Amino acid sequence: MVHNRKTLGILTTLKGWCFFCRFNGGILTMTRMYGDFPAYGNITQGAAAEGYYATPNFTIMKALYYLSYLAAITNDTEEQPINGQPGRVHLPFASPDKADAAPRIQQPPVLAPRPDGQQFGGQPGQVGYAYTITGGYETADDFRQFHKDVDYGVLQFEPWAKENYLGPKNWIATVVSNGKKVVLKLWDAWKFDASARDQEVSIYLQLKPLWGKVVPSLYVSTPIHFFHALILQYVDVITSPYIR
Amino acid sequence: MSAYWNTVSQADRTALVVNQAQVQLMWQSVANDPRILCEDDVKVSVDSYPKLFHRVAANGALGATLPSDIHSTIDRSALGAAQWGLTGVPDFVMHHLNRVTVLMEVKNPWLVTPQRIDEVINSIVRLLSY
Repeated sequence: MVHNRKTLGILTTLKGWCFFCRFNGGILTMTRMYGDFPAYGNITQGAAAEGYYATPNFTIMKALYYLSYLAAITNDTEEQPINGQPGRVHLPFASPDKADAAPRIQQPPVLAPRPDGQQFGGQPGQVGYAYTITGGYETADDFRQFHKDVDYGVLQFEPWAKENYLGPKNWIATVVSNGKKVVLKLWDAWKFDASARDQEVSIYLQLKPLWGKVVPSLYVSTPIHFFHALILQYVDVITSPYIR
Repeated sequence: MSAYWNTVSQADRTALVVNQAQVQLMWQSVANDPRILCEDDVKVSVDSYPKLFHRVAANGALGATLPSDIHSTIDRSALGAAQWGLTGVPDFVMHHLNRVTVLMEVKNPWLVTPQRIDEVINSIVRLLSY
């Protein structure tokens, strides 16, 4: 939900339903798991007997009806610095392989007031939302950096902005250390293993002499949150108006 | 939610959108089906029951009367053109005016139980491993 700045979410097993709501500042609220199916023969004793929370004054269908109304009138929720603080909100890496608590969204450092009494202005690029890919990513088994001497540790990534959308798996992001655009290619790791990403890496490595000339350069192959990811060179293609 | 229901007009409350017996039959057949065992089974069932009847009641599908207020529509999501431009691939989304408004994840009922959700809410388990 954070990655797509969505405010509302649903988790369902069909028998049980949980409803989610996000707020800025890294706050997620969720309901207990409700169920409203009846007892039936020797198949089920009913929702309450199976441990689901009863829905005494509503049904799941009513809840869906209400949520679909609420969703239509509710704006997306972009994580932004709380209290108008300038700077970037960081989303640290949460390793799926560790049992410790997932890190919370990091707010930018609080700046001391300016002596002249003026407020700090938020410059373009200084306020926003970024993936932090330091630490856990560099130690991941499948982290590989092919483009040395550039710190890809922090990426400014706003996938909801239409100008950043290149296709179902591709987005434009900005490397914070040098301000350059890159292409992020992402596979949902909950749905796909890393084979497609790794095959693409092997193809890129075969084409290495052509990097930056005929094909984009491959910079990094890495996990990013729940994605298998590639960080690629951004090529700004200028189309001739005479070619149709 | 009760505050919302107090605002729903009498016309919306009493509009005939679907046969109740049909809803109950479908609900029972899905909720009590012992062969819904994996995520794909659950997705098919969400398609055939909650999604269908929500569309009828909330979006005027199959010729039903439209409600007087606006509602998002439930649809499947899948990799590629059906991904709605989202990072990651949710199983379903709600959408309104071409904007995704709700992300919906389907899980296997054997793996995500009310007790596990309680544990997350009570911070007994902090990281789900399913």
